[in-house]
Amino acid sequence: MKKLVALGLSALVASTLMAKEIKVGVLQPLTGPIAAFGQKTLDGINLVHSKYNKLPNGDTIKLVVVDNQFDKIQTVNGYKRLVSNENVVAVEGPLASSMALAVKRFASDTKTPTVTQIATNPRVTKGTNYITRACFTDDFQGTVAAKYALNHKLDNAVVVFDMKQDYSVGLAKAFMKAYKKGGGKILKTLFINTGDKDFNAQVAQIKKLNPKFIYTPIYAPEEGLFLRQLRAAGVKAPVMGGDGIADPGLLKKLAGKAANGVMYTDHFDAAKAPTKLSAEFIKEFKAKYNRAPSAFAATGADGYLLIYNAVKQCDTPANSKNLSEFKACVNNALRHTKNLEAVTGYLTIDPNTGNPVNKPAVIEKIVDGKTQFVELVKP
Amino acid sequence: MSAKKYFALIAIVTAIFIAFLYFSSHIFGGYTITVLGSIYIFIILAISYNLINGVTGQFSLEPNGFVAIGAYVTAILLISPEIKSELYMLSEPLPLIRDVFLDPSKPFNPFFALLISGAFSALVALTLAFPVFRVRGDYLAIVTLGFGFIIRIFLINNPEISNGSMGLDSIPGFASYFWIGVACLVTVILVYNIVYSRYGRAMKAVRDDEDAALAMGVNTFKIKTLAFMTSAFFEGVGGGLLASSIGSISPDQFTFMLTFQLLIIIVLGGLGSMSGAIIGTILFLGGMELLRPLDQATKHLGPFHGIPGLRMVVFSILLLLIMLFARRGLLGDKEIWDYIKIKKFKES
Repeated sequence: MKKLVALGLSALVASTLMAKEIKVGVLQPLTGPIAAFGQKTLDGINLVHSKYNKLPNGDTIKLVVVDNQFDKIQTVNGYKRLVSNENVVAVEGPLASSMALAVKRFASDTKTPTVTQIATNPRVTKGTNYITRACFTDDFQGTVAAKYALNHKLDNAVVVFDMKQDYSVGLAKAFMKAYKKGGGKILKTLFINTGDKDFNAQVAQIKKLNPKFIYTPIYAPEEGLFLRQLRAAGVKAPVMGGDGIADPGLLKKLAGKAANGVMYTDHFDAAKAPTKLSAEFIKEFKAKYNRAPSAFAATGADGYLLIYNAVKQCDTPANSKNLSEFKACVNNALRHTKNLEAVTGYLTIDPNTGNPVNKPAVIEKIVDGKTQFVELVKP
Repeated sequence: MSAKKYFALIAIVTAIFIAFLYFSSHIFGGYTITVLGSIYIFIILAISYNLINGVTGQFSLEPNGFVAIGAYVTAILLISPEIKSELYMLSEPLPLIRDVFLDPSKPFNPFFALLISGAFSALVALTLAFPVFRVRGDYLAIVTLGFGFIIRIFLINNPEISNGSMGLDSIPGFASYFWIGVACLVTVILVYNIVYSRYGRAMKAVRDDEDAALAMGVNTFKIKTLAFMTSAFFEGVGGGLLASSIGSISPDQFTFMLTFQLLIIIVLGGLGSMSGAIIGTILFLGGMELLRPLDQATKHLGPFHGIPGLRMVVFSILLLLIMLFARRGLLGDKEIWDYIKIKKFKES
């Protein structure tokens, strides 16, 4: 018995000597107001991590998950914990733009490669070399909506946006810029506030203006009620939103039949796998969690795959002795990612801006509480 | 205590604390330093909130408003006009807002910015005091709660002043660990002196029985306004430090939750006790960080392993237990040295 224990112990010691653990930090909102988004993201990350955690030389990647509670102070503390206590080589997160902006300075100060998988605000990657984005920006999403409208000869529009959400304001701005440039005419911009229930004032104005297109970069709870009131008033113009309304179940619940035909731009469509890897991901995700992966899960997986790919290139014996050189190498590899097969498509990062290039968006349509693929828009 | 002895005591405390600041920044890693930094900022906020809520006994719920004012004033003063015109995406900044600029690279300018933030908050507090102190008790809580909401809605709906819900970023990081610590020390000493001065005694009189205080010739409105302004001043300064140490601010950061956190801290430490507020802050922020391993699924704690989100559950249960067994907070309305003195007295 003693011998066995000794043997086991020595085997354990030997294995820890041979194969190292490389830590990757995950900083997401797991509690707090947007905990659901963080949990969905974590599901996606865990799934790809369980598959891609071994590196060619036998080392393994270990995830260190930290909650940021959607709070700036907690975000900064959690980030510092990952970087200086856990000695991670890279951090994935945080998910919201406002939180990503809070870690911007600390990413530069500590020279830690940070991948924010779904923070769409253009300022997040501006002026730092250490934040890399795995998704498109608000500018692009707004442009896609404008292009779609103009291509379908919908050349005058009303924009309805949420004054309280930076996401909504950014998207509305980007849409208006691209739309005007393409020859479209903005008849009016109307604003609402998060939590509003009554949109009759806005709907009455829209009815009077009779636009060909209505762009609503707001969130699903307001969108649902807005649609119901809009259709009840007899306005038939097509409505489009951003990824904030990508919740067909909730829209159906709130708007009933009025939700039919509403379109939105999104990162990813679970029914249309763009790569072989994503087909596998969708299949395994359904098997494990019993539901289709959302855009949060898909982009979460993308962020991890970006980091995995970079760490794979940098995990050399020389690097493993020096953490700061390892981090510099990972950051460089992240920024020079080319044609990486991921869940939402093939990822190529622009080394200067840290944003992905040629990342397509999908346009989806809601029919009977389900999403239907409309088209894929490439930049 | 004679004046000489008192100054000697302050000098000793200062020396010890500065030495601690100096050595801790060399011994501890970046994480511990960041956590200590946020503890210092919250000590400033908690003891100044305690001044109005605990010492003067005016149950007000306004600190998030003053912290927001301080943070925005500091940010607007220290961000250069070039960055500002790039930053304001929703509408052009007002010329006054764009051009007001204290170059943070020059010495003392960040210090002036903090003083201006504090003064601005105090000024707002003065104008607020007239309507607010016409009511007492629960009504006061509601009126001040409204003020916090107004500030946030003002920030969201005036993009030419505050960049709306996008908030401001690229705020110069002058607030290093050392200077935050010094600001915290200065605040503690100043507030301590106020609490144990003639004004402090008047504040306590207002808390214990406002009518009796009035009958004894205390100008209760003046005392309340003074406490309110002092509290607002330090909350503004704390807000400025917070803005600088994080580097980005947005209106959503200053919701009622911030007030609520401060309220938990001062109730946990004991309403009216300065050392209680300090201990409360250390327990609240430190405890939240110490429990982090509970969130990590890979960390094994005996037969259990962490679940993401478990930390906040445990933390809330701990708060509940503390409040159940220490109904008046950890220290009640006494200071920590009062307990030591009582013990000494019993021994002798």
